Amino acid sequence: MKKITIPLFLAIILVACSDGIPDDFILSNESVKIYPDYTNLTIPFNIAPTNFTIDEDADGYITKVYSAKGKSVNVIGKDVLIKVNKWKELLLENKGDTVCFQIYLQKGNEWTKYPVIKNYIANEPIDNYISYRLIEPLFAIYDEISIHQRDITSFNQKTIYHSHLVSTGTRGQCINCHSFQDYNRNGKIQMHFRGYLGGTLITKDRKLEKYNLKTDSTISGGVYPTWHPSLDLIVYSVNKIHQNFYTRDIQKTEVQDQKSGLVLYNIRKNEVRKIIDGSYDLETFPYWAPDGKSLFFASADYIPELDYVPEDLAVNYDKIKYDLYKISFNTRTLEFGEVDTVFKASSIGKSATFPRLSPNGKYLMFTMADFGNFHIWHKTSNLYLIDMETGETRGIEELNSSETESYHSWSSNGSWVIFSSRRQDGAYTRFYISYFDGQGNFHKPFILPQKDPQFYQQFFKSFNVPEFLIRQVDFSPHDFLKALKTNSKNAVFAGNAGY
Amino acid sequence: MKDNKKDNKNNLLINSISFILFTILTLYLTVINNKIYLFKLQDLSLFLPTKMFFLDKVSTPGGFLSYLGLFFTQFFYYPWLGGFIFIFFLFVVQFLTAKAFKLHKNYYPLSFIPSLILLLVLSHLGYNIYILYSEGIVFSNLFGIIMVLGAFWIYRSINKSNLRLLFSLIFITILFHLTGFYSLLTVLLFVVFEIIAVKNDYRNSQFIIIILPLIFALGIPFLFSRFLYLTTIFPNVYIAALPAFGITGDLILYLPFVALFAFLILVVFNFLPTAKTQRPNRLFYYIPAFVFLLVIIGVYLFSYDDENFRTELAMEQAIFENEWEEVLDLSRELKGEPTRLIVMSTYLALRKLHIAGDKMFTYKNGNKYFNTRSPILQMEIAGKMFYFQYGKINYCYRWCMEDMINNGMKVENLKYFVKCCLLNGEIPLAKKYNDVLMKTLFHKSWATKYQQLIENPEEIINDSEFSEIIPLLDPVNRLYTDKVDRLEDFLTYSFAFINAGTSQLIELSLQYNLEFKNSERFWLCFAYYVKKFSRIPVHYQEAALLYAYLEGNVDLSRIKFDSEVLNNFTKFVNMMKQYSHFSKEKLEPIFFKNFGGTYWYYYFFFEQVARSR
Repeated sequence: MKKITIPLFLAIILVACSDGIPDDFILSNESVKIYPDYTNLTIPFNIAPTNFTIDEDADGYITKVYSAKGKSVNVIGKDVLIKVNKWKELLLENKGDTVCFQIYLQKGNEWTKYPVIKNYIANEPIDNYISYRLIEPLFAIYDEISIHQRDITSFNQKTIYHSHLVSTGTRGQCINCHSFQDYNRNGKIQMHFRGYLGGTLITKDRKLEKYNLKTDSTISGGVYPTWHPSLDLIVYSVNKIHQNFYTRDIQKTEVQDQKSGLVLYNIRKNEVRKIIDGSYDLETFPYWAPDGKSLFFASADYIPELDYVPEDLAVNYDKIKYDLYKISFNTRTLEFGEVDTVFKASSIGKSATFPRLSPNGKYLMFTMADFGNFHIWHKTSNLYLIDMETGETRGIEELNSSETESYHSWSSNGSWVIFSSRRQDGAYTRFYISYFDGQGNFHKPFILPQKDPQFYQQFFKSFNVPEFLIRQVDFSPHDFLKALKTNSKNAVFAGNAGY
Repeated sequence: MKDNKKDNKNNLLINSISFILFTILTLYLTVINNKIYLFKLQDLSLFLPTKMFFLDKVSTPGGFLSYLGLFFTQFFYYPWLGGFIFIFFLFVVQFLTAKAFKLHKNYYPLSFIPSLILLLVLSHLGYNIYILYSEGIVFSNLFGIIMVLGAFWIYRSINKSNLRLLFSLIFITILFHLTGFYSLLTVLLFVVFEIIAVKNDYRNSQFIIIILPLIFALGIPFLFSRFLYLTTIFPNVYIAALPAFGITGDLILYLPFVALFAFLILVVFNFLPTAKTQRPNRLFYYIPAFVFLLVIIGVYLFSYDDENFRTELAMEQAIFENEWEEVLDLSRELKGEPTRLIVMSTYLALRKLHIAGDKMFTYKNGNKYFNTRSPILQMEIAGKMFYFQYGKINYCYRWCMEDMINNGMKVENLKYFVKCCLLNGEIPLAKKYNDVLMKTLFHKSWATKYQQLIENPEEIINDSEFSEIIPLLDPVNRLYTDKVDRLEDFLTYSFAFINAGTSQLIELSLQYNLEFKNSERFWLCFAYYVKKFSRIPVHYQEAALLYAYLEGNVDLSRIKFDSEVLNNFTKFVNMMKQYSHFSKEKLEPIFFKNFGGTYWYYYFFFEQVARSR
């Protein structure tokens, strides 16, 4: 890093020093590199400390963390690890203002003071918890998979369920499709397990119960879930999933649906009803609107050119394009109405999935790539936003990168989004948080803070499916285990749900 | 007095012989005969001096032993160094066995038995090293036993029973998490020791010292499992830190452990009052020596020694270092029938040296199954290596990842990750994996070399290894699923049926079609080859002559054949006619003698039957 040598600009300033801050230093106008990039952000006042490491070689490191009000915090060392309590106090006192990081580096006997890093502290809080899955960026074999919840106001992570609790190796268990009703406001979770002791666990009357949602009339058990925001209804996609591997493309694998459809599961009646089940229409990734009066989903018009569908999927994989749809729902009769097209991605040669309506219903965020539906493996996958009032659609350039952006969730107040991205290395999925101003604009995203700033460089698992939670999951891993060991209740097929 | 002198002389002789025999066997089964095996053990594991690595390992019951095991396994990078460290700890076990159980000097040979069994744990794994599901297994169990013996020595040295009880309760509470099963075994030894004491000195308080530790030994793992552990299945918590051979399906591998634990429990009975011999008889000297001899012979016989396994290990190492001549030397030195992996490695080396067209059928061919009790697949042993060398980069990456999911991180996989990412142009990802290797004790120099390519990716095409692989990369991106039990079939299929590509790919296709005995595809590749190159390798000439002869309607007039090949072919055809009434079995040795190194012999007499194992 170059130092400015012009005497006026580089005046050595004498500073009365009583708190470890050097008395003499040189001013530099070059920014100091830090990892992760926590600069020029808008952060929630209740987020965990944005610990970082100073990516410069020096003999000494001092960072002063301060704001307009409250006590400043001085951190000595290359890794800037801020105590949670002091950080919380500082941010809480300075809502709507900025938190500043003043870095001093010592080289030889000389200290250099670098430009202040400023982050804006938003007035809007972020939900206290998120849930997610940890897994290697896996291919076909699964062994160690776990679902966790993280208190994002601190660094506390708890395990919701770990597959090794019940099985290892050849008796492996795949878990992922977990869903909560209304940000877990009422403590209702469902989770699907494949493999050993497989089944779907659903909270009913404050207990976990195990169900088999596969019926003779549906192509699979429930796969991708969405829990109605106020009723004991869960819409699932039912999918016959197929996985292939690219011989050359660095996207490496393609996960496809040979068949798929949507079903409505009524928890109280333990019955499954088909919503849509076209012969060659591939419906998937359902998501309830926050008011519960409509359901969003993705669907592709797929007519195989070859007789053998897996072969056709291998040959014509890049011709399968998903569009976004919405279907109305009557919360009194529990019947679905007509289907409306929300976004015809195929008309521009693209494929859209993961529709997520903001809590106030004004914006729809979704993921779009060149083809297919399993966009976590697609480098062209980016986040998009539709203004539901004007219909204007745009790529969210503030959030997107040259690598994959995929799964995303709105916070319960609509001020924050969390999304998964592979921008760090192209393979390992990490979570990024961004502030949404309510006017269609996102602020610079930042990676979910970890206690150890070098955590992400040393961690060899992907973070999947981030969901905000208002409260923690009530059940312990052993509660899940206990429920898994019971016999499944078979769901009953009860015809079509209106459409 | 005279008897005593004679006793001492006998003792000294027997003890010296047992010491020497033990030393010779440990040296033979480690640094003398198993150097490459030891190197492979460290290549299939990983130790990192980081906080995150430590916390990750010690978060599971018994994980501390795995951590120690992984730490010492890394020294096998220099087999002599790791080997001597291992032998040193075997002597520590021997010393502690003698001390902890207060073995009479006449029992000295018995003190080697735990060490010998632990030596067998290292030497009998064979192909299972590829699918162990157990980290640092060789050293972790060694340290488990050291802890057992050390703790027992301390325990029996405590005179007051109340203090012994306190010691055992604190011991299980603190050490169960760190050492898993081994802490339970230790408490079991304490209890057996106390049971013997009860016989000697009957008091009610003695029962408490027996019952309470047993309750703790059963209860602590249960409580930990119920309230602390989230990654351990409940009954399995009692065997935490023991190898997970159940997953590999070869339960016989547990036998040495059973023998070891049984020995330790039995030897506690040495503390029975009746075990104190007043006047030793002749048997007193010879039974321990005889038992020792039996065990040492057993360890030697049950140690895994297979020519193909050793050759495969050596070939793998040579291939990783691009020592292709070395691979061919190993192939030539092989005495028995090779496995498919050895044949595939030989062909790979010939291809890398660009002499496969002249030599590939001159090397020994075979179908021998892997010498294992439970099945193991080619893919699990060498799938990633062949995929990488043949330019199937995504498949190499995939199987490294699948292996990592099952067996944890390994140095070998990290190196393939780095190479795959470099070839795929995934530079940040290559850096991520290479940074891990940079943190290791012995693989820094390897990582430093590849760091140069990470920083200068434009140099990748000039790298001697990569420049051989780049022409083999699939020219067309396709979606396809290989199968774990079809490595050789997949390679054959994918190369034999290519329709376009570099000249290297077309020649590879030609060679695979020779192996595949597919004349139709051979002619397509051959036509291309003849146009492109002036010299036609011997085996291609042999195949062209044979197929033309068999099919009868092929014009080879414009092809320039070597006169020697033409003469040989004439001899071959004449001999075929001459012996046409012979059965294939009778013909085979005759033709092997005369045409053993030709494609003609391969075509008529060699059938591949074991393509996945």
